[in-house]
Amino acid sequence: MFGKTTKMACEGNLRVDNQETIECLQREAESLKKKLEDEKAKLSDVLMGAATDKIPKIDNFTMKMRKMLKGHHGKVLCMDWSRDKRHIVSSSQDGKMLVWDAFTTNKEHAVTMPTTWVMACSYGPTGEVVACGGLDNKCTIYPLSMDEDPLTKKRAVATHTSYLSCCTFTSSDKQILTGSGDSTCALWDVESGQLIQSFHGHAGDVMSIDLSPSETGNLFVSGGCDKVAMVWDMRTGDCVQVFEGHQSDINSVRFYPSGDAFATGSDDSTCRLFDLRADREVNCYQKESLIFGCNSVDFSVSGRLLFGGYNDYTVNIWDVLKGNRVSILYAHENRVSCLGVSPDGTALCTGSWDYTLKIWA
Amino acid sequence: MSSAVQRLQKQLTQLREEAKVERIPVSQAIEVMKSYITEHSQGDALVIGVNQSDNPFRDQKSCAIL
Repeated sequence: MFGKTTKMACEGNLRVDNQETIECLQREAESLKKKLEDEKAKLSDVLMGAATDKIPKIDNFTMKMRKMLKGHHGKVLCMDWSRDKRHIVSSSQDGKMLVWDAFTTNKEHAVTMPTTWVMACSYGPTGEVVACGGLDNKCTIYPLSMDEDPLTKKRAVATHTSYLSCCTFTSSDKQILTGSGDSTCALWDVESGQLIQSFHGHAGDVMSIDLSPSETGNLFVSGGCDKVAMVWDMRTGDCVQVFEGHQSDINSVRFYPSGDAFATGSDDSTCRLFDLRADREVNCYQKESLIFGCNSVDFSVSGRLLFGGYNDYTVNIWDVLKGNRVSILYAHENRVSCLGVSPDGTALCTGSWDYTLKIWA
Repeated sequence: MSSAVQRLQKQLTQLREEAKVERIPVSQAIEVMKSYITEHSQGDALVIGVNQSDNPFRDQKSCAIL
């Protein structure tokens, strides 16, 4: 009620005095913020740790390194699994994109990009194309075929006004979603290279995006250097939810397997869990001894485990429900920059500034 | 109109939309999450352990005689 009255008062004032308008709008914004805070506080009726204390802890957790993928001559910056659960695409700071058979550790394709810092790469759902980009501000598609060099058929699809930080195909090879240092995300038609929808709202570089796994959702989440995560409607281009809480850059966002929540990894050395329907943070994964930033997060298939790759060369494995650390992998000899659980949930791949990728199971 | 007013109006539009969002209590959100995990826990190889005989990433034992 107060909001509506204020709104009318503000509109009446528009022509009168700019200063007064600003104050009026600020008042309404403050009152709405207060109302939102109060409501969220009221609904925050329990702490996750307390609500899950009867659930048994995860015992005897073991995970071993099974394969090492050697071939990059620069820092590995990004990786993505193919849906066949066997192939992996990775990209590195020296401008290389490699496609691996993770069972045999053989390299099946190697592409040299006309840029360094290839920060984004993604496997198409059919397994027939890969996309990547970085400091060239572009997202380039490479069809994979055994007969031809992928370079001969490459096609630049997306162009941003700053570096490409992340990209992911939607449900088919036909559309690709990109995130950029220009603080926007965009959806592109792969065939024509046309922009379908752009997403404005972040006040800093977008670092990571992830599509909702729910079929009807049409949602994706983005996180960036403005410390907030935003949930977007892909059809309208509208930001439908904003999640605050992190004290530094968000480097990674990943949907919970049911699509009801998502996790974030941040330079503030925490990982957090945000629930869409509760519209708030529901858990924070941290330890006093953990002071380095988290670059990448992913869930196990049931959503029980959250893997985080950190700047202190480790992977921390969190119990999503109970909030404790289940295990720690002394995974690499430099920063863990990216990680991903295989589509069937049987293995974890990590990539590092030590030039290698490793498969854990 | 000044850019400050435009920025504020954009923020207000966002806040008004947020005010309309229907929220569930945190306890309910956690219950939903718990039942999802229970339903899917048997298929989560990284929690229950990978059966090593059908782990494709395991090193194949080479024949000793060869």
